Amino acid sequence: MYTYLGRRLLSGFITLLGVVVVVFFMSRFTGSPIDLFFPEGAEPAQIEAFNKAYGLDKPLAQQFGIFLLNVAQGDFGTSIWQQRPAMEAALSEMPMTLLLAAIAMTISILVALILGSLAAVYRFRAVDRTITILSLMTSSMPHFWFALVGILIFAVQLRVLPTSGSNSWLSWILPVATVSIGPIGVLTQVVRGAMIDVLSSGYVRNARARGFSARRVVYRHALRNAALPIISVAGDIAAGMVNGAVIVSVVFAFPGIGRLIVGAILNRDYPVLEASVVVVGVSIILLNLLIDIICSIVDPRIRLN
Amino acid sequence: MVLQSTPIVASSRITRWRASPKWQMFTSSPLAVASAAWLIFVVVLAFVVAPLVVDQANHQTIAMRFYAPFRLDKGFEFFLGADSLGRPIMLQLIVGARTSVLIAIFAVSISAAIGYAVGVVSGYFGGWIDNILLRLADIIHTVPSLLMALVVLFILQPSIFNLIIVLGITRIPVYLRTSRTQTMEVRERMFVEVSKAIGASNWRIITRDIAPLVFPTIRTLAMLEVSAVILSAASLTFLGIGLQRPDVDWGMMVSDGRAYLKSAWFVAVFPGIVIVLTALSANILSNWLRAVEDPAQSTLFFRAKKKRGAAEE
Amino acid sequence: MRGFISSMVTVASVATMMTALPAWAATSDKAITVVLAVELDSLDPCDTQPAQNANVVRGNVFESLTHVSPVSGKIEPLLAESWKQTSDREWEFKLKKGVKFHDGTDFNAAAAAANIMRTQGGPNYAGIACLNSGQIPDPVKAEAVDDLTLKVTTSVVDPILPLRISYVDIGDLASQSKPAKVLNPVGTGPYKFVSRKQGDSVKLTRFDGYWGAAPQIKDVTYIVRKEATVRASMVETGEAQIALSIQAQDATDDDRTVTFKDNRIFVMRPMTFKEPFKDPRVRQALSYAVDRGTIVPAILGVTGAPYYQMLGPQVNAYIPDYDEKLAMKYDPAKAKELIAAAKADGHPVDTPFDIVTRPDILPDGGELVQAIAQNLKEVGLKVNIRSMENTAWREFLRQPFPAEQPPTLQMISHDNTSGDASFSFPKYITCKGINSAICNPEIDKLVAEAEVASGDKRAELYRKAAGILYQQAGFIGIAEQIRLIMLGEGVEYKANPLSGLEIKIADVRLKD
Repeated sequence: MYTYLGRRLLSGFITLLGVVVVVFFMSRFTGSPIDLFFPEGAEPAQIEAFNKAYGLDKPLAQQFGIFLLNVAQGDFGTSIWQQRPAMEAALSEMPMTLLLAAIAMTISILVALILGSLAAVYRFRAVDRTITILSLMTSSMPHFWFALVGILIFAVQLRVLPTSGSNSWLSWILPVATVSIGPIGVLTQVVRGAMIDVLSSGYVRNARARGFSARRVVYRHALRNAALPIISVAGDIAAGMVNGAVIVSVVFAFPGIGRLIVGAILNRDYPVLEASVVVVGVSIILLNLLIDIICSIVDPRIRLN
Repeated sequence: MVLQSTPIVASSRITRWRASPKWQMFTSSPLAVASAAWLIFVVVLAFVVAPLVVDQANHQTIAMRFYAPFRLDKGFEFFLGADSLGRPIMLQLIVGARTSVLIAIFAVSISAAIGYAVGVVSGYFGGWIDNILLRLADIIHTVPSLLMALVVLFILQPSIFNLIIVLGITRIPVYLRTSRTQTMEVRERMFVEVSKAIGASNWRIITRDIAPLVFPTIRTLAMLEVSAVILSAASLTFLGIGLQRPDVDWGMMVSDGRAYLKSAWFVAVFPGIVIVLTALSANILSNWLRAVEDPAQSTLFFRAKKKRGAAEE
Repeated sequence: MRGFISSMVTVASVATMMTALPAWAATSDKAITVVLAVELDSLDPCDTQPAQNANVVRGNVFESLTHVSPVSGKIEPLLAESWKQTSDREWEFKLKKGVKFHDGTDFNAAAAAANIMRTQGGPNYAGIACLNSGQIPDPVKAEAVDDLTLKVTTSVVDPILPLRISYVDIGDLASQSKPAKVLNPVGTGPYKFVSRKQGDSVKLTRFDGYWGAAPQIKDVTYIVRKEATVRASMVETGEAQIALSIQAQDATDDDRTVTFKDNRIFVMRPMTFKEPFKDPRVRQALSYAVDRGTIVPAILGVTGAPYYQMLGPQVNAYIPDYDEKLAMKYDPAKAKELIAAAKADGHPVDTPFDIVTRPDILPDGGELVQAIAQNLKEVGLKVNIRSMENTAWREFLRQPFPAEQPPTLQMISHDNTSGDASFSFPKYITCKGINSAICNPEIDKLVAEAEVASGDKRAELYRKAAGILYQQAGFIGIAEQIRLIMLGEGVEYKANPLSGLEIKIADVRLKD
């Protein structure tokens, strides 16, 4: 177990290192922040001092070396626009994103469990067909379009929800729905598939033969066994939620890491871009590790190796 | 399903194919037929109709600005209304279809081909190459795809070609992992051992024994990815990167229409509906493909067999 | 200078009704939310030049020594009580007594001098950009004579120094750590800074120690929403009380949508150093080709009107009878003729060029640019639209123009709220101007002469330069922009020509 953990952490670390390298060079290729930061005709002395302050005056290779050394000490530099440590900026946006993802994930899983089980139990009936078509439809819906139509209907026409922001719990509804809509579709399919497998397996038939009601069989045994595929797909979906978070931040002006990253790209705020991508990367790597561990707990047959 | 060049052989193949259970299954499921019909329709629009109407589609007639949909008095091309510059939305959708279809076909092909080939080789040989490739895939996978595309498209000029490249690369890991896992499993099977024992080269084993077995999975996955790529491409153009007028795709049309949500809802809504329909069709077809391979899972395409359902109250 | 001021008076008094302001309402505990289109860059008094910063802090948190009256266009006292030119290059400002900064310290000549010095950047402030520095192109020296007397020495003769000084916002420098442009703005205005959440909101509250009349509204929250439709909806749903940068299609017909002109003109700048624009005839053809009368009203609606010059009617370089007599109005046949003539003289008129624009150049700007492109194609020019984000767009705007850069037709939304062409011409139309893509010795000479002249003489020299510029088609006006602000139920605000730069919350009234 511990050697496994160690190996996973090591490979996660290598991945992260790769991500850091990729982000460093990609961000440098998007252009310099100077044009944005300085007014027309700024004094060369000012620009020089700026470059010096952010280490942009050195050759790229040397910049990279310094960057790696600093990162090794946990220092991602200072945000050019926010004038605070980049890591602090990234971490301060993370709670909102995590909360959004957690709520969206919980709702997706709950809805998917209900719909997927219903579909599996009533396989080949109208219920099943309806649910399957609906779930395919939601997973074919572009985030941004759903968000816009949501604003059009609920905020502009009906005026029951706010258009944007994050002030009241009402303003969470559309962003959460936007982020959940795709995962609900995918997860419902997974739940349904897993439940059908489990329901047709030997021991469930056994349980039924021994006179347990269908409902009890579903709740007691099938759901538990179907948990495995659901959890493993959930990992991928959680990673995909970052994409949803970017859209949500653009359309709803919803706070979070998505907004920070889009802003950092537009403003050429390299330190913030690097720090936030690393934060996202670490979260995704840890999440996947956590999921593997949970899977091994749920199903002892899976050994961690 | 590879088409042969000789017509005689082809026709006999078609006859045989028609008699095949797959074809029967296909024709007996209205949803699959409808989805395929929609996709074929879109492809025909994209490659046959679009080149004919592109000039008309991009021609601005300011007087027709926000001409409301579902009226025929200005001609059929204005049936879905006109956008903010008086361009017919229907023709814009057709020209946009070409972009979206091109992107979907090429991005999916590139990522599937690379992911499939690299995955099989990597899975077969294992070792340090496998490790490096896996880490590379992890890196691509860990940076959220939308961000990766955002940054890359900031550096590159916006064009259909660059959009294809970016989407193609960001989707490689999906195929790579799948084909690698399958290869590792197939590698251990008896017949591969036999091939090895009779002295077949690695190349021969990979191309003759393993790759064909992995292919169906990749095919199904690719079909599923068509919808994912259409959605990703639309997201990028919606965010205003990737394409530049006069190039147009459906995501860009939604993006252009969002400023007029209140006054002219149809400008953003119609392209959205087309995106949903197309992604949905691709999804249904990929579901159908999976169903053919695993009939127990299917619900949309086959009726309940005579035996009773698995669970009843 | 009287010329442009008097023209400003007429326009301003028509555009605004500041004189009919209601009596000062009693103070209340009311709060409002203002929704902006663009996130602000900083809260530094030295950075109030970009509209997004100014909209929040200027006139609210910070005040300047002098101020341009939105009613008369005259320079009025604000933190300075009076000023006089003591010699060619020396000015003396008497400052208002009893003004306190938000942190309780006294405002005095030393603080004013420090701000003026800092605005010019220089080695002491290296590492921090000051976005206002462009307003004082030639260095000035500011020093405190006594507690309330400030002496400013200019390096060149500068008749409009009091106008330039209106761009220097006064902050308490001691309380601000220099690089932290965002953390703690301390000014003398009626509102003091409470908090800022990056990318989310800025909060201000009434400053009880304010030297002037206390404003009615207590708390102000600024938020940013990029979608114009969302901004408009927020006012309708009551999520916000004031929304800026509203698009024509979201405007209401009633008095809840208020309009103002801030001398902002949408112009095209052909790159005259490269083909196909080396020949002035091809540039003139650009102007003849664009059907402003059709596309501008259709696309911009109430937010724009066809326009042919580079500077607005309130700027001293405005040529009053240009539109009737000389403007190169829509005439595609004439455009084709000019292009053909240039071609006959061996100019490669079919060289493709890029229209360089930005998505946010003006509300509905994307559509307008596409319509212009179609007009240009119709007269046979080879056009390619390149819409790029700010950084890349600026690389095309500014000198130097490397050879590998394609020929461009740059789209610019140019504003000049000062009323004086010296804030536009040296930078945009002289050979050395950082944003200039034209080099004409005659223009350079006139602009240089105007710099040191004053009053009518100055205006006339600028008008002459403008005449040559337009005849040469170095800048081609497309539309005068009209800006919209949307107000919530029960909110009263009279927009004025400066509303693009400062929305004084003290001027906002809430009905009971």
